[in-house]
Amino acid sequence: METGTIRKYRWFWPWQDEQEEAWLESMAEAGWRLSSVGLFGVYDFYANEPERVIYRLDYMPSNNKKEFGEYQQMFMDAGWIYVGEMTNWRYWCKVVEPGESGGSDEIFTDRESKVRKYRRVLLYLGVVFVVLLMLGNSLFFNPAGAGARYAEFGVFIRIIQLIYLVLYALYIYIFVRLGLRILALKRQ
Amino acid sequence: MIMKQVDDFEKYLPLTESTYYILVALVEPRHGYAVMQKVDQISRGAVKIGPGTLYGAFQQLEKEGLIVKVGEEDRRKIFMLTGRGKSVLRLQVDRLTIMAENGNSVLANL
Repeated sequence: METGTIRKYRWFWPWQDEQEEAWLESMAEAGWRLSSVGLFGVYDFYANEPERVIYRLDYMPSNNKKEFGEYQQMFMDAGWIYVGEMTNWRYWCKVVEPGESGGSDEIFTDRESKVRKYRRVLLYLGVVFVVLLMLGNSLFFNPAGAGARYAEFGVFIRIIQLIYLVLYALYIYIFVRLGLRILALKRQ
Repeated sequence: MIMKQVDDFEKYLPLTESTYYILVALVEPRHGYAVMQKVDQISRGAVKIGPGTLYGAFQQLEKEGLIVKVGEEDRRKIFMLTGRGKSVLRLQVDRLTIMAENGNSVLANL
């Protein structure tokens, strides 16, 4: 049996949650149980008996403690253990006892609710995108006179503009891929 | 016009199998896990409702006024069917009855 703890860095896109679940499950089978997740792709594991653990990810942006408590309670009642949160993604797991059957291994049991999960991601990132557009607006479209004021920071402004353009492209890419994921689910 | 007051319940139809069973389970006040158990039992294991699906369904059905929160137990909200919810359920059952009658009569003649 493995001992101690390990930290792994992995990047999964928002439409790759099922691949992420499968990876966490393979880690558990190799004797590494997820202890916590951190910002942007940090996963901490502790050594444990190799076992079958089901991992499921939900997208749930919430700053409301009461609301989140009710959400958590419903999952816990159904036998799910809360592991942690990474950029609004909630990590749930359930240990499968040998020979156990019954109970649901899914947190989403119909197509509609699976689609709605990705819609929540789209909505949240959409709002962030609009904010980014508004923040970047003055960088690209200066009112007359402002350009002169910016002139002495010319190179600096160019760099910031470039960063914004990369971010815009990244968000648009994410929207397209999430849209395709939703379409694929609906066609199933 | 009185007609304006009449709700267009048809727009909620057809209900998905999960939504249908959630409404059926909520003829009595129940919290989330009790709904999951009840649905599993009355559907004879055919319909399982996961917590993610149920959490979203509660929010949606409450927004549409088909169910209402009638109490709280620790961190569990207890919901029950409203009059609107009953009307929608009635319409759905009528439709299902016609469906079952059609199917049965066709199969009987095979």
